[in-house]
Amino acid sequence: MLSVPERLRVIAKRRPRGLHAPWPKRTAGRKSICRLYLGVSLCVVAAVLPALTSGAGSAQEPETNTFRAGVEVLRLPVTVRGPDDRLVTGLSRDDFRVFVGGRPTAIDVFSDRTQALAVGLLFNTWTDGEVLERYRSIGRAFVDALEPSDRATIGSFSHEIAISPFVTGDRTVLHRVLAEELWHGWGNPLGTAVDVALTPLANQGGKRVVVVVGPDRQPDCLVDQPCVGIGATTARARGEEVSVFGVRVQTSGYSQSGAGAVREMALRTGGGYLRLQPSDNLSEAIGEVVRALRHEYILGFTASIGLPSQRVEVRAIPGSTVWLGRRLSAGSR
Amino acid sequence: MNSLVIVSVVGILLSTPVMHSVVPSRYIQIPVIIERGDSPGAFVSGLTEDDFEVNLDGRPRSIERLSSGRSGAVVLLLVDLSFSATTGTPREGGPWSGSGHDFPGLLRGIQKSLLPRLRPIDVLIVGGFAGRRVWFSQALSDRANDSSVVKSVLDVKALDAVDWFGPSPIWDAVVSATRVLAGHRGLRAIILVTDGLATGNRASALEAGAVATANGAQVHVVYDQGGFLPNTPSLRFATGDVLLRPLAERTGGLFRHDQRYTQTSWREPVPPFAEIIDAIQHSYLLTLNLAESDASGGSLSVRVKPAGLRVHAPASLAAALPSR
Repeated sequence: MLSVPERLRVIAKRRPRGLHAPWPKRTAGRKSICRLYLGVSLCVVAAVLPALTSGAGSAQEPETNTFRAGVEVLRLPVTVRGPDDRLVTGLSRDDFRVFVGGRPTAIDVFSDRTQALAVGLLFNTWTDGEVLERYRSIGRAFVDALEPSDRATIGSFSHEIAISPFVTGDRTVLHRVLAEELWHGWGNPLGTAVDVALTPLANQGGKRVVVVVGPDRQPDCLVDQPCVGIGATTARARGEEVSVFGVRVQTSGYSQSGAGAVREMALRTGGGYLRLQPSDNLSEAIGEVVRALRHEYILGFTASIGLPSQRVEVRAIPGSTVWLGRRLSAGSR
Repeated sequence: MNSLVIVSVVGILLSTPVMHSVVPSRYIQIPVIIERGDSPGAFVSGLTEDDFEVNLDGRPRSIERLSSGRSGAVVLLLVDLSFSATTGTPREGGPWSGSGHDFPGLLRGIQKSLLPRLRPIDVLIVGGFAGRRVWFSQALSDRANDSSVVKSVLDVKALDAVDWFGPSPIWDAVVSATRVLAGHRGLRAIILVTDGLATGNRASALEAGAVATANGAQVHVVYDQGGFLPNTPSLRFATGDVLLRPLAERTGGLFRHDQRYTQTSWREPVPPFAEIIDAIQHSYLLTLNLAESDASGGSLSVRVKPAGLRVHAPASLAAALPSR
């Protein structure tokens, strides 16, 4: 049994320090979104997302957005999360209900589309040594499930945060990184690691996702280690329209899992969460994740010009939670 | 104090693709170490061209010229300064002193067992890497400056935290070191000191070895396991035996697992630099004159006629690898 050396004591919630330009701080929230859409009289108010900001306990509450609009067809990307936090695919138009200002509204446009992925696949290597081989298996399953148009970069984080310089669809390169660059370490600087991973994804097209694999323990930074908080990183991810998806791997001993910070980030960014069991078939489980990540629903509905701010609520199948994308696109009807 | 000027190559690996090229000549140089089979660490000098048998792709090749490390060598000491390889180093305000790696002990080992064995005819280059940075000193031939340059280049306290806690691009650093050595003539050797926990590389371990081989550079490895690998048997020696030992063997270098250094026994650790320097200075450099069609690579076999000798030589002439 390994023990955590006393010298590796951790300090949580440290202020960022010593960060370089590659980790820019982005402002995401009410102001930026309003500015973005005032030109078409639309204003998404991010602060009206209680289901997302209040944590796990409200995961089943319907999500709402508020807007001001003329007679426009609003196109809203959404993801649907089941009661087990997995992303739900295969829904039809009839599975959704849209309410504007509390009134049912017809869905004029429905799209069930897939996109190429740009993925940052991150492993928290503060874990048991044996788990590293399972990590490599998870990584191989993930890479093998990618489509030719998908790109990925692979990284790890514990005492060191390392992201491969390649964002590539070349499986040979990705498999090489998995084989050569996953090592045991100490620490869980989750916020910093995801923040670092957002940078290489910034210029990528398609659907951008950071997938975090690990025991999902309490995030901490080592003494002296540059540290970006979960809240700041989540805000940046939302602002840059990058989803976080968590794959929780069961471990034992000192690295017991379950704090849930990765899950929180996932719920707040439109991602999902997979609790991987030792008995799970990795190819099937991870393949399902990749397919679901590539998937996105688009709902289009009509709103009238001149009304005060209206609350938009989208519901899907019972037990599910709908996440509304931050991007609204509008067009004349 | 010109010798203290550090030549920084920050960002080289980020701004340029990894290039893999064979020496742009029909002349290929192969470094070879001969060791007594019954006495490891006893390196043999005095052999002549007639004592060697060289085969490329199964065909015997004649040796155009034979020289040796006795007439001087260029030694590039390349030290991994990332967090995992230096934890235990007292940093101002940090709690790391006294555990993990004994980095000051490593520096003492360099001072005591490496620097004194360098000859006036040898050239020393000191390099370090951490995060996205790799840097090298100027080439030193005045032994009086060696010690101060080592301290200056391998100054962990001077590292930015982002680099110290950043990736460990070991293979990229080997590629960069090979490029630095490519500007020098004669026997060229890299002594890589690392824990092998490589991350964030553009090049693979295989590619790093290929680049070194293609440019006639030996890579010797002092494997410093340190305290960051768990006691899982399958992992304990993984970086050493799976990645670092093959890197050394593919390039004709030596692999040494620094047991004393990594036991954290608080005795003064002295890495096995003496043995590696001895091997470099007893190395042979075989020059082959190959046809252009041979120059892209092939399996290499180097044997010696006297019995009871062990040959350390590259197993192939590195093929030109596709640049990325």
